[in-house]
Amino acid sequence: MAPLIDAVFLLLTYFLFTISLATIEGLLPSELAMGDSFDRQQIDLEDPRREVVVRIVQTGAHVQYFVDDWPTSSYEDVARHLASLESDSTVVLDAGKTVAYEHVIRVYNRCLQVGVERVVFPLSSLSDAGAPRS
Amino acid sequence: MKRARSERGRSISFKVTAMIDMTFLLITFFIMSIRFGQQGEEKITLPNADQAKDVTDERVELITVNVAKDGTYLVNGAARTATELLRYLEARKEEADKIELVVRGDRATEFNAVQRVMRLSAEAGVTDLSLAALQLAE
Repeated sequence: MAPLIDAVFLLLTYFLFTISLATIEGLLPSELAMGDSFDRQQIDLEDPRREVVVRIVQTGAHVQYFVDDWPTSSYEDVARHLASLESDSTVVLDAGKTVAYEHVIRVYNRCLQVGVERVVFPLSSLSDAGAPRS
Repeated sequence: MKRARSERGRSISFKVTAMIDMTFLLITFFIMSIRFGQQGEEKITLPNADQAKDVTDERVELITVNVAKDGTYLVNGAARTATELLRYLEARKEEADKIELVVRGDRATEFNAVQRVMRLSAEAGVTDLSLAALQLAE
């Protein structure tokens, strides 16, 4: 009996130490915009749905967000702006090459939180075509 | 179990049955909930996103590409270059009817590395793509 209990406790100790492996992972579905820029031709001008371009630029540790080319003071500003969107709006999430991935996911997650499910990633940065206003 | 005898002569027994039951229950719980990661996955620290959802469609074959902090691509534990990754995706696309690419990017990696995977995915004709994240609040 004693060896069995020893083995059982060893197993229990092992699982207690390795439980962090079981952190729940989930998936964020994403949509790709082909070409060098988001295909604006597909958006009907009479369509009340809005398209918003959120650009993220990172220089060192500093992260700057732009909404439709206008700079914002912080992520909270972007979050507030996204909260004001209709749920059928489209958000084009355009992040610079050096932006840490977590900042992109943070904005994407915020879009989903406020009910905006159409989030598009341009395959090439739109910022390359022209610098945002500053 | 050993029985101790107290000073007054009354024996004190230690009942282990309930404790063993409890221990086995705990072990069963841990065995059921453990998720063994692929080799190389432990190097990836995923970003948090409480809106991330579980995979529901089991008919879809998932291909996981890990993007490490330094921008290295890891597939099934092996590092691959962009060209190798493209060939791998094209081969898998031919084999399976419906596949979905899951990008597990480290939270500190540059977005450029993830964007390149997206581009390769589009080139290989894999249009269903998901980004993995921990289902935790920011």
